[in-house]
Parts: sequence; C-alpha cells; structure tokens
Amino acid sequence: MSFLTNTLLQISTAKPSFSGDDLYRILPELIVLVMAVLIVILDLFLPKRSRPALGYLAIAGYVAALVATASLFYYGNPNKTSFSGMFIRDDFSSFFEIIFLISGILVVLVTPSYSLKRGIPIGETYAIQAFSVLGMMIVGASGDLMAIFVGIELTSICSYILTGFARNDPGSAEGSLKYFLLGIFATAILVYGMTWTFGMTGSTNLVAISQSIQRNGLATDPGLTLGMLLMVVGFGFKIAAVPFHLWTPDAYEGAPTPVAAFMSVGPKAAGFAALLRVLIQGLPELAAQWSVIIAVLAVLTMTLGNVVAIAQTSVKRMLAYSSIAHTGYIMVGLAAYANTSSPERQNDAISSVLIYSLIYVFMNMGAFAILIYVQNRQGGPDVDDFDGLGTWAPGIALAMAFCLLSLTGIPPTGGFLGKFYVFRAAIDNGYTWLAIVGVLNSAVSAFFYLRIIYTMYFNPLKDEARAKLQPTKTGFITAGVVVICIAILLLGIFPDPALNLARDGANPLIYVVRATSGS
Amino acid sequence: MVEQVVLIVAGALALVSALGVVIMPNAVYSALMLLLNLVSLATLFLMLHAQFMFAAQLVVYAGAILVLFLFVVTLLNPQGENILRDKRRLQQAGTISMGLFMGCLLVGALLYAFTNGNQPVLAASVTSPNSTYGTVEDFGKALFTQFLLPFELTSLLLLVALIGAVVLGKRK
Amino acid sequence: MSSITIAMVVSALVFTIGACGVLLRRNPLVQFMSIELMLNAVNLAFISFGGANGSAEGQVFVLMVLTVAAAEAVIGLGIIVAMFRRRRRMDVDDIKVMEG
Repeated sequence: MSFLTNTLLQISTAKPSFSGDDLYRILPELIVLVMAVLIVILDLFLPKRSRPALGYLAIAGYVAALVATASLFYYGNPNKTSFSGMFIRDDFSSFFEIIFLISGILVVLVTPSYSLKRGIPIGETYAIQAFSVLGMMIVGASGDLMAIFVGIELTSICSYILTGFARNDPGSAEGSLKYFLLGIFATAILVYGMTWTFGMTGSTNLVAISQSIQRNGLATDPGLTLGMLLMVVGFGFKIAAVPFHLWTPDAYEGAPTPVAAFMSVGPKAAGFAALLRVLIQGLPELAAQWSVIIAVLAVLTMTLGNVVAIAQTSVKRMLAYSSIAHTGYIMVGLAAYANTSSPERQNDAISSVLIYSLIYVFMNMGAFAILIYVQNRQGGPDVDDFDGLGTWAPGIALAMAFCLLSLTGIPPTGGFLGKFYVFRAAIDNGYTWLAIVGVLNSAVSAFFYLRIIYTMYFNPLKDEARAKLQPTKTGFITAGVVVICIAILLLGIFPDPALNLARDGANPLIYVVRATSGS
Repeated sequence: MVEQVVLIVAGALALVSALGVVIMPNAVYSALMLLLNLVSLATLFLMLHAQFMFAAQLVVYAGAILVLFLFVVTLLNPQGENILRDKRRLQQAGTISMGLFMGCLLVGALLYAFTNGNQPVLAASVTSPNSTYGTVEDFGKALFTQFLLPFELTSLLLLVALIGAVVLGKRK
Repeated sequence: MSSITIAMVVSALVFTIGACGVLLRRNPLVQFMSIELMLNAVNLAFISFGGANGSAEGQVFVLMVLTVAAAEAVIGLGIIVAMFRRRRRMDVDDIKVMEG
C-alpha cells in the first residue's frame, strides 16, 4: 500500500515533461495527426461510394495545418526547442512544413480519378499519405537523431505500403518488395551511422553533437567520419542519389502513379531536410569531408539520371530517372555550403536547396498529374500515349509543355530560377566545375523533355487509339494542374517572396552553427 | 571472470549463428539460426547491464517478430538455395572481399576509438557505469521525459503498419 | 579488453555478416532475415556505446529500433505473402532485387 501511495506521490509531484507551449509549437503536426486519425475512423463507417469525399477532409486538414504554420511563422517563430530538444520550431522547419503540406494537398488532388478507376482503396490511401506527411514534418523539425530516425521511418513505411496498393497489378507487389528490402537495408546502414555518431560524441542531440565535436576535437576522428559516411549512404537511399538509386525506377513503375508522384517529391524533400539538419547542424566541423562526397555523388546522380532517362520509352520510368537527376541538382546546392565561411554565402547555398525543393514539388507533381490524366484516358504510361495530346486535350498539353520546360530549366519558369540559384551558389563558393557539369546535364535533359513536347504536338493520334479513348473525371486533376501552373509561373516571374521565405528558412541553421562555435 | 567467459561465449555464438543465417540453404534453418543469434545478443545485453532491453529483446524479437518469420517461411515453403554451390563465383568473391574490407574498417575504427587517448567521451565511464544505469526506473524516466516525442511517434508507426498489413493482406 | 569493446567488435562483425547476407542471398525472406541481423547489430552497438557513455539514450534508441523492426516485419512479410500468394512456388530468380 505504501508503495502505491509513494508512487502516486511521485507522479503527482513530478514535473510534466512538456508544457502548453510545446503543444502550441507542434500545432501543425497535431492538426495533420487529428485529420489522419479522423480519416481512418470515418473510412470504416462511410459507405463505399461516399469515401472519395474524404479527400475534402484531407485537403481541409492540410490547409488548416498550412494556416497554423503560416501564423506561427508570421508571429515570429520562437527558434525554440520543444520536447527536450526533440522538436525545433524555427523558420527552417516551417519552410519544409510548407513544402510537405503543399505536396500533400497536390497528391490528394491527383489521387482519386486514378485510384477509383483501378479499385485502389481510397480512404486508406488518404490516411497513409497523411501519416507520411506527418513523418516528414517531424523530420524537418527534429533536433535529435532519434526524432529524425522515427520520422523518416514513418515516412518510408508509408511509402512501402502505398507502393503495394495496386493489388491488381503484379508489378506493384514486385516494386514494393524491392523498394522495401533496399529501403530497410538503407535504414540499417543509416541507424548504424547514427550509433557511431552517438558513440563518438556521447549524444543524439544535434547541437550537443556539434558542441562535443568542438570540445573534444573530434573533427578528424575516424569513428565519427565512419558514422558520417554511413549516414550519408542511408540518406542517399532515401533521396535516390546514385549509386543508391537502384530501387527508384522499379518502385516508381510498380507504384500507382499518384503514389509515384508523391514519393518523388515528399519523401525526397524529407531526406534533404534530414541531410541539412544532420550535416549542417550536427556535423559542421566535418564539412570539408562531406562536401567532397556530396559533390561527387551529385555529379554521378545528375549524369546517370539524365543519360538513362533518354533511353526510356515509358514516361513513368523517364520521370523516375528525371527525379534522380533533380536530386543531383539539389545536391549541388548542398555541396556548395561547405566551401565558404561567410554567412551570406552559406545562406545562398542553403536557401538555393530550399527554393529548388519547393519549385521541384510543383513542376514534378505537374508532370505526374498530366501523366495520370493520360493514363486515365489512354491506359498506358508510354511516350506513344502522348501522341497528339495537343489536338485532343489542348489545355492539358499546354500545361504539360509548361511543366516540362520548367523541369528543363527554361525561363520564365520556376525551374529556371531554381537551377539559377543552385548553380550560382556553386560558382560563388568555388565549385565552378560542378556548376558546369550541372548546366551540361540540363542541356542533355532537354532531349527527353522536349521529345514529349514534340510527340504531343507533331505526332498525330492514330485512329484506333482515338476510338479507345476513355472518359475520365477531371475535376480534381484540373484544379491541381491549374494551381501548379500558376505557382510555376509566379515563382518564375516574382520569385522574391518565396526567395525571402527560403532565406529566412536557411538562417536558423547558420545561426545555430555560429552560436555553437562562439563567433 | 565468469562474466568475461559468458560474454565471450555469447559473442562467439552470436557470430556463428549470424554466419548460419547467411549460409544455411533452408530458410527454416536460417530462421532458427536467427533465433539463436537473438538470444545470444540478449545475453550480451544482460552482461552490459541493460536488463530491460534484455527482456524486450526476448519478448519482442524472439517472441513476436521471429514467430512471424517462421510462420511465413512455413506458409510459403521456399525452395532451398545453397550459396556454397552457387555459380556466380565472381560476384560472390566481390561481395565477400567487400565484406572483409568493411569488417576490418569497422573493427579498426573501434579499436582506435577505444584505445586512443583522444576519446574523452568513451574513456570517461568505460570502467564504472553508475549504479542506476540500465534499471527499468532509469530507462523509464528517460523514455517518458526526454524522449517522449519519439516514443509517441512509434505508436503512429505501429498504427500505420497495422492499417498497411490489413490492406495488403486483404483478398479482393 | 573490456566487455564493452568485445560487444562492439561482435556488433561490427554481425553487421558486416548481415550486409554480406543481403548481397549474397537471393531469397527475399533470407535477405530480410539478414537485414534483421544488421538491425540487431545496431541494437548491440547502441547498448555498448550507451554503456560507455553511462546514459540511457542508447537504450531508448534501441527501443525505437525495436519498434521500427516490428513494424517493418509486419509490412515486409505482408508484401511477401501478397506477392507469392499468386504464384505457387517461391521462385526467387524472378525478382532481382539487387539489380537496377
């Protein structure tokens, strides 16, 4: 009895491990969580034909979370950590939250017409997508290796499940098995790297890690270098960098197209958020080592992605390789960070990564949305299926051409500005050769992007194919495509608001690094 | 002294059983070898004063995950695959030499880390862990105060796995 | 050699063996088991490093890895069963997981 009272006494007098402030700072995540759980519950009770209406609930949830993020941003992010350093509410996490929530909204817009046609369970799809977005938001805002690990695993497990959702398609199960095995192989490597980092520095908190490295002079410690290498390999799998990209083409091809669209933007951006947090906030002292590795990986990734994409006959596979190539462009910006000590230049590099990630969400999602439309009408994802799109769906063809020009990097689209900032950061910080490789790669990429534009406008639609065109519901997809095109155009013509946002987003990382180094 | 012996025996068993998982031609034997590996690793946990993780390892890994593995292996009954008689010698040699290189690298870095004087983080408490280390109380306190957020997130992880398993396993 | 050093060496070797197993075997079930070996090696490393640091962080991380492994086992075995329910026999040469 006395044991019980003692325990109760201990519980009642113990300090709570979090406060109301903590809950306020995690508000966007809580909104997404509530929305996801609501979808799971409602999905059980709703009759089958009214389940697509859950899409409105999902969009409402994402928009509410976006509003919460924006208001936290507007009233000044406190730059404070919550939950004992696990969660950081700063401009960086807000910027990535915006990216993840936008990709969540866009994927809800492109999902229903495809899934309903192929009998893919739609309520569960929305729910798991929402959990995935939640995992990404945690990754972007985490200040601790443990939170990064759990968040990135939440995202990855959702991706494995979503890839296998097309149960009528044998390629779906195969793609998801391959993705799953390579994914958890990468997870094991990643978490082993985290072990080494933890063992050598004595902490899993990113700021404490960088302090410990300084205090104990561990910058050239072989154990820590090994940990860094293992973590870069693990994150390399998640962002699909060459040579860790083997899963990408098969997983994208097997996955339902909306899921492939989602995987190519959301989890990839989450991987970059984790890389930025770990490398810049946790291991800035090792910058000289990791920047070389990232630069070499960037060259491999850009080149292989673009060269192999030329040979593809399936647009879905081509977009998979193109997404690999874009990983390479983003990595250029990350590599550029390390070569300079001036905060402005460092901000240039990080903000170029952020702005490219944002623009990439729109243009890649746009290309996939139109692929989904063509698949709904024609059935297949091949280049031939785009024959004469300019005549039988002129508006859609125009939007596709716009997205493809943006992916190539032609002004006045957002894609041009993204590439411009990334390559300028590389040149300013002494990586001119990397920028040159990047520009050459962009020229190569024009081949396969422009080939689709040529097919759409100059290849006539064969009569037998015209007879087989199927009707499709276009409401949600059209809305998505319109939003995407406006966003790409705005980002291309008036980039300043987004750029300022990205500059604010890049500041916390530099600020933390400078604060810990005492300068 | 007894501790050292137990430690070395458990470590050796862990290595042998790990090799067994990879080499055994029959997947059922691989799973049983994995069980042996899990138990010997749990013993090592106990020797390193992590009592709670010792129990968790046995209950979760050996009790739940491995049973699931055995269930699937017997359900699918995969054909045997003897890697000792495999034709792809060159590829195997490449993998094994890469493995040897990686093993040497890891062990080398370890020995460097533990013997080099520049390791204040490790050297500080290698000799005497404090008395409460590894107890359930100590562990629970850390889990529910400092690491509350990741702990709560793991519940979402399990929820997602549950939904995913139901959808993937459902017949049309 | 201290007990922590022995445990760390064991963990490094088990991790290496597991990684080799993933690359050598072609049966997805056994590849999955090899990855479980790697995750177990990670657990052992966390506990030994945590013991060396004298903090509970390592053990908490092990609990996270354990939960992730459990969730992954459910999903992975679900995928494998869904895939091979269609085929009678598990013909591993059909899936070339390690080739691009």
